[in-house]
Amino acid sequence: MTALALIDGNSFYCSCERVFDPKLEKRPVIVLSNNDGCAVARTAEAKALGIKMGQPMFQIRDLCRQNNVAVFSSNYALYGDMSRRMNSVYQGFSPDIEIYSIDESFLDITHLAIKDRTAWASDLRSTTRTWTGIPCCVGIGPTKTLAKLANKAAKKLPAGVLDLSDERTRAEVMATFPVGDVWGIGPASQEKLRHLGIEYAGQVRDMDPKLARQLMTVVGEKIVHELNGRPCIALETVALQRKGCAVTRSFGSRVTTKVEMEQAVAGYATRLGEKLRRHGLATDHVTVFMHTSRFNDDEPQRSVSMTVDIPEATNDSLTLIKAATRAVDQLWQSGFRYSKAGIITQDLVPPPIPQRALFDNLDHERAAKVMAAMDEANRRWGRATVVPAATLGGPAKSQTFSTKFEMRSPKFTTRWDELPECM
Amino acid sequence: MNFTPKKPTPFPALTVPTAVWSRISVRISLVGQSVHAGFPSPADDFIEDMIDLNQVLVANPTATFLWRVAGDCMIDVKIHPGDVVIVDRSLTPKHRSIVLAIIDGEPTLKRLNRRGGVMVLHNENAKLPPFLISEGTEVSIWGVVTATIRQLAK
Repeated sequence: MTALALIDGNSFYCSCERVFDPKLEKRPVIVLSNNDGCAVARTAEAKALGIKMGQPMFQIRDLCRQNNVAVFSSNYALYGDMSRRMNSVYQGFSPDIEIYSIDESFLDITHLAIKDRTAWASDLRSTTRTWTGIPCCVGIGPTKTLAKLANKAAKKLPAGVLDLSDERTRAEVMATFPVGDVWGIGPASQEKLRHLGIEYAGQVRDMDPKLARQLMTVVGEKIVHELNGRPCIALETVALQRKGCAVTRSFGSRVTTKVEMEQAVAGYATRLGEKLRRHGLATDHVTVFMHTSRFNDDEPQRSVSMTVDIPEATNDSLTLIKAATRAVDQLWQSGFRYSKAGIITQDLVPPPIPQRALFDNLDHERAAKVMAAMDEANRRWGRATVVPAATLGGPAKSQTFSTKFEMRSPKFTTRWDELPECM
Repeated sequence: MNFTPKKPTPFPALTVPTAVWSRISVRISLVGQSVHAGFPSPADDFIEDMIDLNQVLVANPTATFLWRVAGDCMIDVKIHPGDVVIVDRSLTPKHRSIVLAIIDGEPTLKRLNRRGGVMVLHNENAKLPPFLISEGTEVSIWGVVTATIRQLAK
Protein backbone atom coordinates (compact mmCIF):
# COMPACT_ATOMS: atom_id res chain seq x y z
CA MET A 1 0.00 0.00 0.00
CA THR A 2 1.15 3.52 -0.79
CA ALA A 3 2.55 5.49 2.14
CA LEU A 4 2.99 9.24 1.93
CA ALA A 5 4.33 11.64 4.52
CA LEU A 6 3.41 15.31 4.63
CA ILE A 7 5.81 17.54 6.53
CA ASP A 8 5.21 21.20 7.23
CA GLY A 9 7.01 23.86 9.19
CA ASN A 10 5.01 25.09 12.21
CA SER A 11 4.08 28.77 11.80
CA PHE A 12 6.82 28.61 9.20
CA TYR A 13 7.54 32.30 8.52
CA CYS A 14 7.42 33.11 12.23
CA SER A 15 9.70 30.18 13.05
CA CYS A 16 12.26 31.45 10.51
CA GLU A 17 12.31 34.79 12.35
CA ARG A 18 12.77 33.04 15.70
CA VAL A 19 15.80 31.03 14.55
CA PHE A 20 17.94 34.17 14.28
CA ASP A 21 16.43 36.17 17.11
CA PRO A 22 16.07 33.84 20.11
CA LYS A 23 14.42 36.60 22.16
CA LEU A 24 11.34 36.12 19.99
CA GLU A 25 10.92 32.69 21.56
CA LYS A 26 9.06 34.33 24.42
CA ARG A 27 6.93 36.66 22.34
CA PRO A 28 3.94 36.18 20.08
CA VAL A 29 5.10 36.69 16.48
CA ILE A 30 3.20 37.50 13.30
CA VAL A 31 4.38 38.00 9.73
CA LEU A 32 2.49 40.29 7.37
CA SER A 33 1.59 39.78 3.72
CA ASN A 34 3.26 41.68 0.90
CA ASN A 35 2.59 45.39 1.42
CA ASP A 36 2.13 44.72 5.12
CA GLY A 37 -1.62 44.44 4.65
CA CYS A 38 -2.59 41.54 6.84
CA ALA A 39 -1.28 38.72 9.03
CA VAL A 40 -0.29 35.64 7.02
CA ALA A 41 1.63 33.72 9.68
CA ARG A 42 1.06 33.52 13.43
CA THR A 43 2.72 31.66 16.25
CA ALA A 44 0.56 29.72 18.69
CA GLU A 45 0.84 32.65 21.15
CA ALA A 46 -0.43 35.07 18.50
CA LYS A 47 -3.31 32.75 17.65
CA ALA A 48 -4.17 32.59 21.36
CA LEU A 49 -4.51 36.38 21.35
CA GLY A 50 -7.27 35.96 18.78
CA ILE A 51 -5.30 37.15 15.73
CA LYS A 52 -6.88 35.52 12.70
CA MET A 53 -5.27 34.32 9.51
CA GLY A 54 -5.52 37.11 6.94
CA GLN A 55 -6.71 39.66 9.46
CA PRO A 56 -5.90 43.22 8.29
CA MET A 57 -3.15 44.95 10.23
CA PHE A 58 -5.21 48.05 11.00
CA GLN A 59 -7.63 45.89 13.00
CA ILE A 60 -4.97 44.41 15.24
CA ARG A 61 -2.49 47.26 15.64
CA ASP A 62 -3.56 48.08 19.21
CA LEU A 63 -3.80 44.45 20.22
CA CYS A 64 -0.24 43.88 19.00
CA ARG A 65 1.07 46.90 20.86
CA GLN A 66 -0.63 45.93 24.13
CA ASN A 67 0.63 42.36 23.99
CA ASN A 68 4.18 43.02 22.79
CA VAL A 69 3.59 41.10 19.57
CA ALA A 70 6.63 41.05 17.27
CA VAL A 71 5.38 42.14 13.82
CA PHE A 72 7.42 41.46 10.67
CA SER A 73 7.11 42.24 6.99
CA SER A 74 7.59 39.19 4.76
CA ASN A 75 11.24 38.28 4.25
CA TYR A 76 11.06 35.90 1.31
CA ALA A 77 14.83 35.75 0.86
CA LEU A 78 15.05 34.23 4.32
CA TYR A 79 11.98 32.00 4.08
CA GLY A 80 13.04 30.67 0.68
CA ASP A 81 16.50 29.75 1.94
CA MET A 82 15.16 28.07 5.07
CA SER A 83 12.63 26.16 2.96
CA ARG A 84 15.43 24.95 0.68
CA ARG A 85 17.35 23.75 3.73
CA MET A 86 14.35 21.88 5.13
CA ASN A 87 13.73 20.12 1.84
CA SER A 88 17.33 19.11 1.65
CA VAL A 89 16.98 17.52 5.11
CA TYR A 90 13.86 15.65 3.92
CA GLN A 91 15.68 14.39 0.84
CA GLY A 92 18.07 12.59 3.15
CA PHE A 93 15.06 10.65 4.42
CA SER A 94 13.45 9.86 1.07
CA PRO A 95 14.50 10.86 -2.44
CA ASP A 96 10.91 10.97 -3.74
CA ILE A 97 9.80 14.42 -2.78
CA GLU A 98 7.15 16.81 -3.95
CA ILE A 99 7.73 20.33 -2.76
CA TYR A 100 4.13 21.37 -2.45
CA SER A 101 4.58 24.89 -1.12
CA ILE A 102 7.22 26.95 0.65
CA ASP A 103 6.56 25.13 3.93
CA GLU A 104 4.96 21.82 2.90
CA SER A 105 6.43 18.77 1.20
CA PHE A 106 5.18 15.29 0.46
CA LEU A 107 7.55 12.34 0.69
CA ASP A 108 6.80 8.97 -0.86
CA ILE A 109 7.92 6.37 1.66
CA THR A 110 6.11 3.37 0.15
CA HIS A 111 9.26 1.55 -0.81
CA LEU A 112 11.49 2.54 2.07
CA ALA A 113 12.41 -0.24 4.46
CA ILE A 114 11.09 1.43 7.59
CA LYS A 115 10.19 -0.81 10.50
CA ASP A 116 8.56 1.84 12.61
CA ARG A 117 7.14 4.76 10.66
CA THR A 118 6.42 6.83 13.74
CA ALA A 119 10.04 6.49 14.89
CA TRP A 120 11.22 7.36 11.37
CA ALA A 121 9.02 10.45 11.35
CA SER A 122 10.24 11.52 14.81
CA ASP A 123 13.80 11.20 13.60
CA LEU A 124 13.05 13.33 10.54
CA ARG A 125 11.33 15.87 12.74
CA SER A 126 14.17 16.21 15.23
CA THR A 127 16.85 16.30 12.51
CA THR A 128 14.98 19.13 10.79
CA ARG A 129 14.71 20.98 14.09
CA THR A 130 18.39 20.53 14.94
CA TRP A 131 19.80 21.37 11.51
CA THR A 132 17.53 24.25 10.54
CA GLY A 133 15.99 25.36 13.84
CA ILE A 134 12.47 25.06 12.39
CA PRO A 135 9.92 22.93 14.24
CA CYS A 136 7.76 20.77 11.99
CA CYS A 137 5.01 18.15 12.11
CA VAL A 138 4.73 14.93 10.13
CA GLY A 139 1.56 13.19 9.00
CA ILE A 140 1.58 9.80 7.29
CA GLY A 141 -1.21 8.17 5.29
CA PRO A 142 -1.92 6.07 2.20
CA THR A 143 -3.14 9.09 0.17
CA LYS A 144 -2.24 12.76 -0.03
CA THR A 145 -5.55 13.78 1.54
CA LEU A 146 -5.00 11.41 4.47
CA ALA A 147 -1.38 12.48 4.90
CA LYS A 148 -2.61 16.08 5.05
CA LEU A 149 -5.27 15.11 7.56
CA ALA A 150 -2.72 13.21 9.66
CA ASN A 151 -0.43 16.22 9.62
CA LYS A 152 -3.20 18.52 10.79
CA ALA A 153 -4.08 16.12 13.61
CA ALA A 154 -0.38 15.72 14.50
CA LYS A 155 -0.25 19.46 15.23
CA LYS A 156 -2.31 18.84 18.35
CA LEU A 157 -0.11 15.99 19.60
CA PRO A 158 2.99 16.61 21.73
CA ALA A 159 4.92 14.15 19.54
CA GLY A 160 4.11 16.18 16.41
CA VAL A 161 3.84 12.95 14.43
CA LEU A 162 0.83 10.87 13.38
CA ASP A 163 0.72 7.74 11.24
CA LEU A 164 -2.71 6.96 9.79
CA SER A 165 -1.67 3.85 7.85
CA ASP A 166 -3.78 1.74 10.14
CA GLU A 167 -7.46 1.83 9.29
CA ARG A 168 -8.69 1.72 12.89
CA THR A 169 -6.63 4.72 13.98
CA ARG A 170 -7.78 6.50 10.85
CA ALA A 171 -11.46 5.91 11.61
CA GLU A 172 -10.96 7.14 15.15
CA VAL A 173 -9.31 10.40 14.07
CA MET A 174 -11.79 11.05 11.26
CA ALA A 175 -14.77 10.63 13.56
CA THR A 176 -14.06 14.02 15.15
CA PHE A 177 -12.08 15.72 12.40
CA PRO A 178 -14.00 18.80 11.15
CA VAL A 179 -14.79 18.80 7.40
CA GLY A 180 -13.54 22.37 7.06
CA ASP A 181 -10.05 21.11 7.87
CA VAL A 182 -10.10 18.46 5.13
CA TRP A 183 -7.77 19.35 2.23
CA GLY A 184 -9.76 20.81 -0.67
CA ILE A 185 -13.01 21.44 1.19
CA GLY A 186 -13.52 25.19 1.15
CA PRO A 187 -16.10 27.29 2.98
CA ALA A 188 -18.66 26.93 0.17
CA SER A 189 -18.48 23.12 0.14
CA GLN A 190 -18.47 23.09 3.92
CA GLU A 191 -21.76 24.98 3.91
CA LYS A 192 -23.33 22.53 1.42
CA LEU A 193 -22.20 19.58 3.52
CA ARG A 194 -23.58 21.09 6.68
CA HIS A 195 -27.04 21.21 5.14
CA LEU A 196 -26.76 17.43 4.79
CA GLY A 197 -25.68 17.13 8.41
CA ILE A 198 -22.11 16.29 7.45
CA GLU A 199 -19.67 17.78 9.91
CA TYR A 200 -16.81 15.34 10.23
CA ALA A 201 -14.30 13.81 7.85
CA GLY A 202 -15.60 10.33 8.67
CA GLN A 203 -19.00 11.27 7.25
CA VAL A 204 -17.43 12.55 4.02
CA ARG A 205 -15.52 9.27 3.73
CA ASP A 206 -18.85 7.41 3.88
CA MET A 207 -20.55 9.58 1.25
CA ASP A 208 -21.61 8.21 -2.12
CA PRO A 209 -18.85 9.45 -4.48
CA LYS A 210 -21.53 10.43 -7.03
CA LEU A 211 -23.25 12.67 -4.52
CA ALA A 212 -19.91 14.19 -3.54
CA ARG A 213 -19.32 14.94 -7.21
CA GLN A 214 -22.71 16.63 -7.58
CA LEU A 215 -22.04 18.71 -4.51
CA MET A 216 -18.37 19.59 -4.91
CA THR A 217 -17.44 18.75 -8.52
CA VAL A 218 -14.84 16.16 -9.35
CA VAL A 219 -12.69 17.46 -6.49
CA GLY A 220 -15.31 16.21 -4.03
CA GLU A 221 -15.39 12.76 -5.59
CA LYS A 222 -11.62 12.51 -5.32
CA ILE A 223 -11.73 13.55 -1.68
CA VAL A 224 -14.13 10.70 -0.89
CA HIS A 225 -11.87 8.15 -2.58
CA GLU A 226 -8.77 9.55 -0.96
CA LEU A 227 -10.36 9.48 2.51
CA ASN A 228 -11.09 5.81 1.86
CA GLY A 229 -7.41 5.22 1.26
CA ARG A 230 -7.61 5.05 -2.56
CA PRO A 231 -5.02 7.41 -4.07
CA CYS A 232 -6.42 9.76 -6.74
CA ILE A 233 -3.87 12.53 -6.59
CA ALA A 234 -0.42 11.45 -7.69
CA LEU A 235 2.78 12.57 -6.09
CA GLU A 236 4.60 14.94 -8.42
CA THR A 237 8.20 14.37 -7.62
CA VAL A 238 11.02 16.47 -8.99
CA ALA A 239 14.38 15.31 -10.13
CA LEU A 240 17.13 16.30 -7.75
CA GLN A 241 19.39 17.87 -10.31
CA ARG A 242 18.54 21.24 -11.71
CA LYS A 243 16.99 20.15 -14.95
CA GLY A 244 14.39 22.81 -15.13
CA CYS A 245 13.63 26.14 -13.60
CA ALA A 246 10.37 27.80 -12.75
CA VAL A 247 9.15 31.16 -11.56
CA THR A 248 5.49 31.14 -10.65
CA ARG A 249 3.34 33.14 -8.30
CA SER A 250 -0.21 33.27 -7.11
CA PHE A 251 -1.51 36.78 -7.52
CA GLY A 252 -2.41 38.76 -4.40
CA SER A 253 -5.61 39.80 -6.14
CA ARG A 254 -7.02 38.32 -9.33
CA VAL A 255 -5.59 39.56 -12.63
CA THR A 256 -8.20 40.54 -15.19
CA THR A 257 -6.38 42.74 -17.70
CA LYS A 258 -3.83 41.79 -20.32
CA VAL A 259 -1.47 44.59 -19.44
CA GLU A 260 -1.25 43.41 -15.82
CA MET A 261 -0.62 39.88 -16.98
CA GLU A 262 2.11 41.01 -19.37
CA GLN A 263 3.84 42.97 -16.64
CA ALA A 264 3.63 40.10 -14.20
CA VAL A 265 4.97 37.58 -16.70
CA ALA A 266 7.72 39.97 -17.80
CA GLY A 267 8.69 40.18 -14.14
CA TYR A 268 8.89 36.39 -13.90
CA ALA A 269 10.97 36.25 -17.09
CA THR A 270 13.39 38.76 -15.56
CA ARG A 271 13.66 36.64 -12.45
CA LEU A 272 14.11 33.50 -14.53
CA GLY A 273 17.01 35.15 -16.38
CA GLU A 274 18.56 36.09 -13.05
CA LYS A 275 18.27 32.51 -11.79
CA LEU A 276 19.76 31.07 -14.96
CA ARG A 277 22.67 33.51 -14.96
CA ARG A 278 23.41 32.75 -11.34
CA HIS A 279 23.68 29.07 -12.13
CA GLY A 280 25.56 29.64 -15.36
CA LEU A 281 22.79 28.03 -17.40
CA ALA A 282 20.64 28.92 -20.37
CA THR A 283 17.49 27.70 -22.06
CA ASP A 284 16.13 27.58 -25.58
CA HIS A 285 12.44 27.75 -24.71
CA VAL A 286 10.06 29.13 -22.15
CA THR A 287 6.66 27.76 -21.20
CA VAL A 288 4.20 30.33 -19.92
CA PHE A 289 1.06 29.25 -18.12
CA MET A 290 -1.83 31.04 -16.50
CA HIS A 291 -4.91 29.77 -14.78
CA THR A 292 -7.92 30.68 -12.68
CA SER A 293 -8.51 29.30 -9.21
CA ARG A 294 -9.84 25.77 -9.33
CA PHE A 295 -11.39 26.19 -5.89
CA ASN A 296 -13.77 28.88 -7.14
CA ASP A 297 -16.00 26.44 -8.97
CA ASP A 298 -18.75 28.98 -9.56
CA GLU A 299 -16.51 31.13 -11.79
CA PRO A 300 -15.52 30.37 -15.38
CA GLN A 301 -12.35 28.30 -15.36
CA ARG A 302 -9.40 28.45 -17.69
CA SER A 303 -5.95 26.96 -17.70
CA VAL A 304 -3.65 27.46 -20.64
CA SER A 305 0.00 27.21 -21.39
CA MET A 306 2.26 27.81 -24.33
CA THR A 307 5.85 27.06 -25.11
CA VAL A 308 7.88 29.52 -27.13
CA ASP A 309 11.11 28.33 -28.74
CA ILE A 310 14.11 30.60 -28.74
CA PRO A 311 16.54 29.95 -31.62
CA GLU A 312 19.63 29.89 -29.49
CA ALA A 313 19.94 29.02 -25.81
CA THR A 314 20.04 32.20 -23.77
CA ASN A 315 19.84 33.61 -20.27
CA ASP A 316 19.32 37.17 -21.40
CA SER A 317 16.31 38.58 -19.55
CA LEU A 318 15.30 40.80 -22.45
CA THR A 319 15.11 37.84 -24.87
CA LEU A 320 13.21 35.82 -22.28
CA ILE A 321 10.78 38.70 -21.76
CA LYS A 322 10.24 38.93 -25.51
CA ALA A 323 9.44 35.23 -25.72
CA ALA A 324 7.24 35.30 -22.63
CA THR A 325 5.19 38.32 -23.68
CA ARG A 326 4.65 36.71 -27.07
CA ALA A 327 3.14 33.76 -25.24
CA VAL A 328 0.90 36.02 -23.15
CA ASP A 329 -0.23 37.75 -26.33
CA GLN A 330 -1.25 34.40 -27.85
CA LEU A 331 -2.81 32.99 -24.71
CA TRP A 332 -4.70 35.99 -23.41
CA GLN A 333 -8.45 35.84 -23.25
CA SER A 334 -10.50 38.31 -21.22
CA GLY A 335 -13.44 37.45 -19.03
CA PHE A 336 -11.53 35.30 -16.58
CA ARG A 337 -10.16 36.09 -13.15
CA TYR A 338 -6.64 34.64 -13.26
CA SER A 339 -5.20 33.59 -9.92
CA LYS A 340 -1.78 32.36 -10.94
CA ALA A 341 0.75 32.52 -13.73
CA GLY A 342 4.29 31.46 -14.24
CA ILE A 343 7.19 30.61 -16.48
CA ILE A 344 8.85 27.24 -16.69
CA THR A 345 11.79 25.95 -18.66
CA GLN A 346 13.20 22.48 -18.90
CA ASP A 347 16.42 20.97 -20.21
CA LEU A 348 18.74 23.70 -19.08
CA VAL A 349 22.03 23.89 -20.91
CA PRO A 350 25.27 25.84 -20.50
CA PRO A 351 25.08 29.14 -22.38
CA PRO A 352 26.57 28.96 -25.88
CA ILE A 353 30.09 30.31 -26.19
CA PRO A 354 29.93 33.31 -28.51
CA GLN A 355 31.41 32.55 -31.92
CA ARG A 356 33.58 35.29 -33.22
CA ALA A 357 32.65 34.59 -36.83
CA LEU A 358 28.94 34.93 -36.36
CA PHE A 359 27.42 38.15 -37.52
CA ASP A 360 25.00 38.57 -34.61
CA ASN A 361 27.83 38.31 -32.16
CA LEU A 362 27.96 41.98 -31.25
CA ASP A 363 24.42 41.86 -29.94
CA HIS A 364 25.28 38.88 -27.82
CA GLU A 365 28.16 40.60 -26.13
CA ARG A 366 26.22 43.75 -25.57
CA ALA A 367 23.31 41.83 -24.03
CA ALA A 368 25.62 39.91 -21.73
CA LYS A 369 27.20 43.17 -20.54
CA VAL A 370 23.82 44.75 -19.89
CA MET A 371 22.70 41.70 -17.90
CA ALA A 372 25.94 41.57 -15.90
CA ALA A 373 25.58 45.24 -15.00
CA MET A 374 21.94 44.76 -14.03
CA ASP A 375 22.75 41.75 -11.84
CA GLU A 376 25.59 43.60 -10.16
CA ALA A 377 23.39 46.61 -9.39
CA ASN A 378 20.68 44.36 -7.99
CA ARG A 379 23.19 42.44 -5.94
CA ARG A 380 24.65 45.56 -4.47
CA TRP A 381 21.55 47.60 -3.83
CA GLY A 382 18.88 44.94 -3.49
CA ARG A 383 16.63 43.08 -5.88
CA ALA A 384 14.75 45.09 -8.49
CA THR A 385 16.94 48.19 -8.19
CA VAL A 386 17.33 47.94 -11.96
CA VAL A 387 14.62 46.19 -13.95
CA PRO A 388 13.73 45.90 -17.63
CA ALA A 389 11.13 48.48 -18.63
CA ALA A 390 8.65 45.77 -19.66
CA THR A 391 8.19 44.81 -16.05
CA LEU A 392 7.17 48.32 -15.11
CA GLY A 393 3.99 49.87 -16.28
CA GLY A 394 0.90 51.81 -15.55
CA PRO A 395 -0.23 52.75 -12.09
CA ALA A 396 -2.16 49.50 -11.63
CA LYS A 397 1.01 47.49 -11.91
CA SER A 398 3.12 49.26 -9.35
CA GLN A 399 0.41 48.76 -6.76
CA THR A 400 -0.32 45.16 -7.60
CA PHE A 401 3.17 43.75 -7.67
CA SER A 402 5.43 45.97 -5.61
CA THR A 403 6.21 44.92 -2.09
CA LYS A 404 6.61 46.94 1.05
CA PHE A 405 9.18 45.76 3.53
CA GLU A 406 8.93 48.25 6.33
CA MET A 407 9.42 45.79 9.16
CA ARG A 408 11.48 43.21 7.33
CA SER A 409 14.15 41.37 9.29
CA PRO A 410 17.65 41.09 7.76
CA LYS A 411 18.27 38.54 5.00
CA PHE A 412 20.27 36.56 7.55
CA THR A 413 21.26 33.69 5.28
CA THR A 414 21.66 35.21 1.85
CA ARG A 415 23.54 38.50 2.23
CA TRP A 416 26.99 39.14 3.66
CA ASP A 417 26.01 42.57 4.93
CA GLU A 418 22.92 41.27 6.74
CA LEU A 419 24.34 38.34 8.72
CA PRO A 420 22.99 37.81 12.24
CA GLU A 421 25.26 39.17 14.99
CA CYS A 422 26.59 37.51 18.11
CA MET A 423 28.64 38.80 21.02
CA MET B 1 2.33 33.48 -37.05
CA ASN B 2 1.72 29.75 -37.23
CA PHE B 3 1.39 27.57 -34.24
CA THR B 4 -0.03 24.11 -33.91
CA PRO B 5 -1.69 22.65 -30.81
CA LYS B 6 0.35 19.93 -29.19
CA LYS B 7 0.03 17.69 -26.19
CA PRO B 8 0.52 19.47 -22.89
CA THR B 9 4.13 19.86 -21.87
CA PRO B 10 4.79 17.96 -18.63
CA PHE B 11 5.49 20.49 -15.92
CA PRO B 12 7.97 20.02 -13.10
CA ALA B 13 5.87 19.55 -9.98
CA LEU B 14 7.69 22.17 -7.98
CA THR B 15 5.07 24.85 -8.28
CA VAL B 16 2.35 23.81 -10.65
CA PRO B 17 -0.69 22.08 -9.22
CA THR B 18 -2.30 19.14 -11.00
CA ALA B 19 -4.82 20.67 -13.30
CA VAL B 20 -8.19 19.05 -13.19
CA TRP B 21 -9.56 20.81 -16.19
CA SER B 22 -8.56 21.19 -19.82
CA ARG B 23 -5.27 22.65 -20.87
CA ILE B 24 -4.33 24.23 -24.14
CA SER B 25 -0.68 24.04 -24.94
CA VAL B 26 1.08 25.19 -28.05
CA ARG B 27 4.65 25.56 -29.07
CA ILE B 28 5.82 28.42 -31.26
CA SER B 29 9.16 29.68 -32.41
CA LEU B 30 10.57 33.06 -31.52
CA VAL B 31 12.84 33.32 -34.59
CA GLY B 32 14.26 30.91 -37.19
CA GLN B 33 16.84 28.18 -36.84
CA SER B 34 20.24 28.74 -35.33
CA VAL B 35 23.59 27.71 -36.76
CA HIS B 36 26.45 26.36 -34.69
CA ALA B 37 29.96 26.78 -36.01
CA GLY B 38 33.52 27.11 -34.84
CA PHE B 39 36.42 25.19 -33.44
CA PRO B 40 36.23 23.22 -30.18
CA SER B 41 38.74 24.61 -27.70
CA PRO B 42 41.79 22.36 -27.18
CA ALA B 43 41.68 23.23 -23.47
CA ASP B 44 38.20 21.75 -23.05
CA ASP B 45 39.44 18.37 -21.86
CA PHE B 46 41.62 19.91 -19.15
CA ILE B 47 39.13 22.23 -17.52
CA GLU B 48 38.68 21.41 -13.84
CA ASP B 49 36.42 22.89 -11.20
CA MET B 50 37.64 26.00 -9.48
CA ILE B 51 38.92 25.77 -5.90
CA ASP B 52 35.87 26.10 -3.73
CA LEU B 53 36.22 27.28 -0.13
CA ASN B 54 33.02 25.49 0.78
CA GLN B 55 34.77 22.18 0.23
CA VAL B 56 37.01 22.71 3.23
CA LEU B 57 34.96 25.10 5.35
CA VAL B 58 31.47 23.64 5.14
CA ALA B 59 30.87 19.96 5.83
CA ASN B 60 27.08 20.14 5.95
CA PRO B 61 25.75 23.12 3.96
CA THR B 62 22.14 22.42 4.97
CA ALA B 63 22.94 22.96 8.65
CA THR B 64 25.60 25.66 8.25
CA PHE B 65 25.03 29.34 8.97
CA LEU B 66 27.27 32.42 9.12
CA TRP B 67 27.24 34.88 12.01
CA ARG B 68 29.02 38.21 12.36
CA VAL B 69 31.02 38.64 15.58
CA ALA B 70 30.26 41.86 17.43
CA GLY B 71 31.96 41.27 20.79
CA ASP B 72 35.42 40.44 22.07
CA CYS B 73 34.73 37.62 24.53
CA MET B 74 36.79 35.18 22.42
CA ILE B 75 39.64 37.52 21.58
CA ASP B 76 42.30 35.34 23.25
CA VAL B 77 41.60 32.61 20.69
CA LYS B 78 41.79 35.17 17.92
CA ILE B 79 38.13 35.68 17.20
CA HIS B 80 37.82 39.43 16.73
CA PRO B 81 34.87 41.77 16.37
CA GLY B 82 33.98 41.99 12.68
CA ASP B 83 34.99 38.40 11.98
CA VAL B 84 32.52 35.96 10.49
CA VAL B 85 32.10 32.60 12.21
CA ILE B 86 30.88 29.47 10.49
CA VAL B 87 28.39 27.63 12.66
CA ASP B 88 27.26 24.04 12.08
CA ARG B 89 24.03 23.08 13.83
CA SER B 90 24.34 19.39 13.03
CA LEU B 91 27.48 18.83 15.12
CA THR B 92 27.22 17.62 18.71
CA PRO B 93 29.09 20.04 20.98
CA LYS B 94 32.08 18.38 22.59
CA HIS B 95 34.47 19.20 25.42
CA ARG B 96 36.48 22.29 24.32
CA SER B 97 34.14 23.12 21.39
CA ILE B 98 33.60 26.79 20.71
CA VAL B 99 29.86 27.22 20.51
CA LEU B 100 27.29 29.83 19.68
CA ALA B 101 25.27 29.84 22.89
CA ILE B 102 21.98 31.58 23.57
CA ILE B 103 22.15 33.01 27.06
CA ASP B 104 18.91 34.65 28.18
CA GLY B 105 18.04 35.23 24.55
CA GLU B 106 21.45 36.74 23.65
CA PRO B 107 23.50 34.96 21.00
CA THR B 108 27.10 34.83 22.22
CA LEU B 109 30.29 32.85 21.59
CA LYS B 110 31.62 30.72 24.43
CA ARG B 111 34.06 27.89 25.08
CA LEU B 112 32.35 24.73 26.27
CA ASN B 113 33.97 22.68 29.00
CA ARG B 114 32.55 19.39 30.15
CA ARG B 115 33.69 18.36 33.58
CA GLY B 116 32.29 15.14 34.95
CA GLY B 117 28.92 15.56 33.35
CA VAL B 118 28.72 19.28 34.18
CA MET B 119 28.80 21.72 31.28
CA VAL B 120 30.54 25.05 31.79
CA LEU B 121 30.61 27.90 29.31
CA HIS B 122 33.29 30.54 29.57
CA ASN B 123 34.87 33.49 27.80
CA GLU B 124 38.29 33.42 26.19
CA ASN B 125 39.33 36.91 27.20
CA ALA B 126 41.73 37.49 30.12
CA LYS B 127 40.26 40.97 30.60
CA LEU B 128 36.76 39.64 31.17
CA PRO B 129 35.62 37.71 34.20
CA PRO B 130 35.27 33.98 33.53
CA PHE B 131 31.67 33.60 32.63
CA LEU B 132 29.60 32.06 35.39
CA ILE B 133 25.99 31.29 34.78
CA SER B 134 23.78 32.32 37.65
CA GLU B 135 20.79 30.32 38.68
CA GLY B 136 17.68 30.83 36.60
CA THR B 137 19.65 31.82 33.50
CA GLU B 138 18.35 30.16 30.37
CA VAL B 139 21.06 28.60 28.27
CA SER B 140 20.91 26.67 25.01
CA ILE B 141 23.45 25.86 22.36
CA TRP B 142 22.59 27.10 18.87
CA GLY B 143 25.47 25.44 17.03
CA VAL B 144 29.15 24.58 16.98
CA VAL B 145 31.66 27.06 15.54
CA THR B 146 33.80 25.28 12.95
CA ALA B 147 35.81 28.14 11.45
CA THR B 148 36.31 31.88 11.44
CA ILE B 149 36.77 34.13 8.47
CA ARG B 150 38.73 37.36 8.81
CA GLN B 151 39.28 39.53 5.80
CA LEU B 152 42.61 41.38 5.93
CA ALA B 153 42.37 43.40 2.76
CA LYS B 154 39.93 43.85 -0.10
